Amino acid sequence: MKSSSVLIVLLGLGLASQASADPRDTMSIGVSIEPPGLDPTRTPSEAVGTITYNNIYEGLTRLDRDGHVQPLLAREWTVSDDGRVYHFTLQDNVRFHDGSPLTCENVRFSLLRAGAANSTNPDRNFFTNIADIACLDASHADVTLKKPHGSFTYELAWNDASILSPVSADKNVSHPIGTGPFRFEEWQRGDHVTLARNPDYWGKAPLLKTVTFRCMPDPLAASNALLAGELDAYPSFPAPEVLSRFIDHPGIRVVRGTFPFKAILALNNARRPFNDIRVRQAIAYAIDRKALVQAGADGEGTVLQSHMAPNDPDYVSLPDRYSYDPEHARALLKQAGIRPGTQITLSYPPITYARDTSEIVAAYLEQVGLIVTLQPLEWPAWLGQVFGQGKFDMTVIAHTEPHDIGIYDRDTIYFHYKNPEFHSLFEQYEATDNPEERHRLSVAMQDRLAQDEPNVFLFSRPRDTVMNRHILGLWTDQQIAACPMADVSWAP
Amino acid sequence: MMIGVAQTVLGRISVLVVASIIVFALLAILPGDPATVMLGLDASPESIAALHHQLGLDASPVTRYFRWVVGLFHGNAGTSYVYDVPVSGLILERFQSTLPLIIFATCLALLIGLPIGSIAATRRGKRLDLALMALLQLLKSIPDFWLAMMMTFLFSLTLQWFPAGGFSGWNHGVFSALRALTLPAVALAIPQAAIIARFMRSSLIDTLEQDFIRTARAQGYSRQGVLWRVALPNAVIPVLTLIGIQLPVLVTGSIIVENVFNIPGCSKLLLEAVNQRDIPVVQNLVMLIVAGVLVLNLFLSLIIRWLDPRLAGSDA
Repeated sequence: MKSSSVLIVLLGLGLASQASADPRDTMSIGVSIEPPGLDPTRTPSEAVGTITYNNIYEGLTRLDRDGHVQPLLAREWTVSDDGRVYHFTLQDNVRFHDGSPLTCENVRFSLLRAGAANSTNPDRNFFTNIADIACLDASHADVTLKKPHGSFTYELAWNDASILSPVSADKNVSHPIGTGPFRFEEWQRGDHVTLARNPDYWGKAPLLKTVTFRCMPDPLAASNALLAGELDAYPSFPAPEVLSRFIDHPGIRVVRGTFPFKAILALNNARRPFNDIRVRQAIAYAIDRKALVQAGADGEGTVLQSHMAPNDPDYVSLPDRYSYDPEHARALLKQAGIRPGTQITLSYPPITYARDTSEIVAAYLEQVGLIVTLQPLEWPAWLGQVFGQGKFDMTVIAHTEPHDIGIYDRDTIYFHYKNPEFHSLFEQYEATDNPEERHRLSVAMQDRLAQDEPNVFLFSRPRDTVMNRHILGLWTDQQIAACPMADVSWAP
Repeated sequence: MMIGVAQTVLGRISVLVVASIIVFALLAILPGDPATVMLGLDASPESIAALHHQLGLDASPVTRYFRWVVGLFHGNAGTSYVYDVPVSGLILERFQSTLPLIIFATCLALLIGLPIGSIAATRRGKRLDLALMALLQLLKSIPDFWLAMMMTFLFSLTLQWFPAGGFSGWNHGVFSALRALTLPAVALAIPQAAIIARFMRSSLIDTLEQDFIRTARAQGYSRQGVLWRVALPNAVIPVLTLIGIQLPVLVTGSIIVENVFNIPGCSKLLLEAVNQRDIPVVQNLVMLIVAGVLVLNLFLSLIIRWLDPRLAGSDA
């Protein structure tokens, strides 16, 4: 008797906890990696962006789903004629989640902190160009740059340029405080992060009361949770091979969207034989990139000709200079003095697309006489050895940052590309903020890379979002890792 | 007896010291740098250097080793690189699902394995014994991740008796917590139960052939009486040793099971920490597992000494 009544009480507790919240103003979203802290000024992790971008934190500007810069905490701005001084007018009545008001001092603090000498901001180089920030009054900020930088308002829209409060900035890893439409509520590490509607939000109030981001790295566990209704949506579903499970499900739809996915076969331009343009071209001719697209993600995707994804506003469809031609590849290799049987190593990180692509690429290169050793690396090892130290021959990797053609002008980029013409184009591009001029220069940079072929540009791929049919407003296209929830709701 | 125990304890401590050196050295030579993992593809070298300094990674390996060990003696296991919170709190939080899961699975494995093994032993060579042995061979051969997938398909998605995964802690009621742990515990327990049953069967068969069993029968004990009072307590002793040996297997098994069922436990934390090179978490967690196995073995060997005084002189 006694034990059965205990059981009934326990049963009741279990049921009560399930029925306590109205399901229509809450939503649970799946993410594929556990966020390494919730501070975007410390890591560019996709999970951090998905959970916090324009949910918890806001910057002076924001990127919309098509990659265009929109005002956010800065209501409007003007730029001086020499392109060096940005005069920002801040939104009124903005408060941080701890109640303190947003003033120009917060802008000053956040941007100077990001560019400081001891800053660990992943994009610190965005901010080192800031010479000074003057606060005329609480709601106006004048940012002076060392030299004109046309991408400045674009870079201010990134999550690591979020405006923070000096009181809470150093504790954001575990207790994030921003000005966004959602407040941080709880984080059970390894399981979920819960955000709650910010009742004092300065803008339009969010439609959902709470949003829970659940960390589900295993695609099978994630698809089970979606099928069981324990998860409402999963943006960027990591495993295309599991998607067939959702086809016949009446309550779930799979939406194919875009994101700046640029898979490349990166070549070590500082090392022989890749420092010879004929070898790089030969490798490009030796690979049938159309077949690579066919081989993965249900054959969906675009062959790339340069380092720009098709969803970028500046993207142009360039002619295919290196269509599959193994004969020509062999001839070029012979010209460059590369004997058949030359050994090269292809390293790749432990991601499905990288492994599959590497295996096919190796097979193509063996057909033109190169002997390819495949070297699978664990993710930290890839980051350390290939990306960090630039010690590799070839590697397959997808760059997913938006509009990052500027990495070809970096002194310390892992594929060691250096080209004075590209450098001059990039200087001109950053020196202007005229949109037409910038577009023209961006196209010229894309074309320059396509001719030079520092890396073999392989393909771009779509991004699949799995979600309940009744969800409205969720981003299925994106330029940066983000899942803004303020406009997301359930269909009535 | 006391000297034996003291020797055993000293032996275990030296194992801990050696283990700490091996764990630290392995992590130090493992390729991959925590700072590059955290800062990602766009990081500038200055940011990486600043983070190195912040994390204390610019010190020599020997300094870092002693910093860690001295910290442990002060009860300070360090701070997680990734989460920037004390490692001890992080591990303690995760233990709330892993420890119950492993205890749950061990109890289930014993509850299933011991009776099946005993029944098979007493029906040795009969049809039931053969059928049970065939079944056990099958269960033992099933990989735990496959079993986990099949169980989720049947019990969560089709019958909807259990959640498909996740564990939201003990705050939402003991019942829902146990419900969330049931399928993972079964997935973990079944291969273990098969091993325990086979071991129990052969151990009981051995015992039943001993002279003292015949003596007991001759003294007038009934067949059932001999089995319950004499044979079973003797046959269980080797099974206890087996549980100690199987604990590391359970821990590694729980890495897969926690991932398939998406349970935020220690094993999942360990896998994530290795992938992110969160070295303070990895080294302390591995040390904790080593210590856990040693303590459990010590505890079991004490129980066995108590059950079987003949073993008092040896290190069981």
